[in-house]
Amino acid sequence: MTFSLAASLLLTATILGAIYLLMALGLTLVYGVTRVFNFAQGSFYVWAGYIALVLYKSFQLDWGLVIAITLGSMFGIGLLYERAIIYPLRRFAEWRWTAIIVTLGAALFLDSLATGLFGVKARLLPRIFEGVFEYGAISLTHHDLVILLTAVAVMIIINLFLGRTRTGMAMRGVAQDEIGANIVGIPINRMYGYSFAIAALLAGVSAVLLIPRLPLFPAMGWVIFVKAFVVLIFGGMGSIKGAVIAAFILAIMEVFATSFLGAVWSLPVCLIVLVIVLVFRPKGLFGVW
Amino acid sequence: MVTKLSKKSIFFLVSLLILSLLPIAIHDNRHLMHLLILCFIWGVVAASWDLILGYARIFSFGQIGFFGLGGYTSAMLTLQLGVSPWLGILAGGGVALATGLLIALPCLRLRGMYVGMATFAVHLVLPLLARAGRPIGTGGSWGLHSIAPLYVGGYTFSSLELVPWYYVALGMFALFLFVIYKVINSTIGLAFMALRDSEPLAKNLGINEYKFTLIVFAISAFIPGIMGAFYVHYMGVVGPEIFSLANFLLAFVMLMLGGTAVFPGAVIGAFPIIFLNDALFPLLGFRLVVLGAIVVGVMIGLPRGLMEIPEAINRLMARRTSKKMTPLPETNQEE
Repeated sequence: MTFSLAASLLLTATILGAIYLLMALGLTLVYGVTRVFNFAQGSFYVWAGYIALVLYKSFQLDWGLVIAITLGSMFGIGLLYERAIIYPLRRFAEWRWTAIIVTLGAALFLDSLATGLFGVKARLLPRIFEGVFEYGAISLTHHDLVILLTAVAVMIIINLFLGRTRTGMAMRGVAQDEIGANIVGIPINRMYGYSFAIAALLAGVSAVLLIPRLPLFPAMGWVIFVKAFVVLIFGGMGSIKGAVIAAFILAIMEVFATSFLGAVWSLPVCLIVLVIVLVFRPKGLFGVW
Repeated sequence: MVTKLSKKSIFFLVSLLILSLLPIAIHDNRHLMHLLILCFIWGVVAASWDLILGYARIFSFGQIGFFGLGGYTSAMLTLQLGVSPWLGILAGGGVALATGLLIALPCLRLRGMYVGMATFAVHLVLPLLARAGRPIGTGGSWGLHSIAPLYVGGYTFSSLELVPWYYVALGMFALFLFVIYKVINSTIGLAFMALRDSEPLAKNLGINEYKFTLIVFAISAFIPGIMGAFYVHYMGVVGPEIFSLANFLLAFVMLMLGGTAVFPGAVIGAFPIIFLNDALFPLLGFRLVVLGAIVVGVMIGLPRGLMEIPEAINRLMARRTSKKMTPLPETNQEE
């Protein structure tokens, strides 16, 4: 293996890891605030991708508008999703059990709707920025650089949002103790809505960034979703540090498995990691919950 | 010996009698016969899923995986080694059972949606392995065809004459429903229901959590394995599509429509869904959209499925008289 091959594989792994991290962040945010595990996170990714595709290809908008409209509509979809299917469930005593079933049902609904409307053909978007950096043996496209910078920026923004703003702190309050948060006057319903909306927004960011590199098809959501989930389990639920480390370890394993064993092995490798982690350390690397 | 029959067993026996006399009237309508055979197969799959998801409340989403594994095992054994299809079906159940136990082992240490994701990930990986498994004879993306039909003595079943298939399917349907009913009402069933309702109490009473989790995984893997193998011999073909999300959704919507943990519920859900699925065929891809919407709609409106309808009507009547109550938030101290 030459140095440049190893470098480019590592670089690809870093980029994939960044995307998995964003998706995992969406899952963990929803789980933290509402204790609902949202099976539809992958479907959010798929829908964001198709919204962007339609805006770019059919309406021929330019990238800035495409991104703005996609992200805006994902935020709306997240709010609507919570209102339409999570909120009405909460009148039942054992609603968290039902919610797992319902989000899985909603995921299958959204996926098949995407399949029905857009077909199963894999599609790509052009890169947001063309051009390549060359530094010795390493080359990095501008688009990949944007992915990395955006991922880092999003992580920082989410961190600041949760740590510094009133809404963010209110969300953390709900995550810690829902009844207590309710007593001190935090609007719980709104916080539930925000957590799903932000999760959908993160799926939107991931989709817009990744679809120029990895083709989009309706089942793609599950591929990304399973990897985000493995990142969460591996890193430990509730730990950002764990998720970052896990995302990169997993992405490196995946990239090397894909280039030396074949693309079929990328998902089985994830599964093997999942089983090993679950058997030997179910809490993950730095698990809190 | 005279035994008193409960209402449930009379209902069961009468429906069985009707179903077994039905071919006299409809044996010329091959399409209807085919749909009923599918109802029997999927009804058993949904009922076995209910055993683990409803009664034991373990989020096993690997059910269709076991179904397909049973099918592939039997198809490969009969095609490559010329094994009798009957033995193939048994072997299919055996392989599903072994896989079920293998999956159960890591799941013993997990709870809630962790089990759900782990088993669902297995389900997602299986079609990839079936595609990549050409060297071991899975037929790759094309799958396998000309799988031997069943035979009894010198008589070989054919796809032209569905009556024998119908009776074998009905026989398996009756047998497995009886087994599932017996399991639910045995000490095994009581044990895993106790674990579901209050795990600490059940453990303190001396119920071995590991043992019963393994048992419920084994039973609910073996039965779909057998049915999957039968399905494959009936259809004559098997491909990676057997693991598709469409099949997953089909069994899932049956279970949710029928209701979880209300025994004949899942089976009763199977019949309308098979017929609906057939009626929706012209919609092609959008068929699954409707099924997905049913899952979500039923869970929001009738969380315990069709079996809850009488109760729901009472609730509606009561709501008219009393003012709408706002729900209290629940504690957040899970896990």
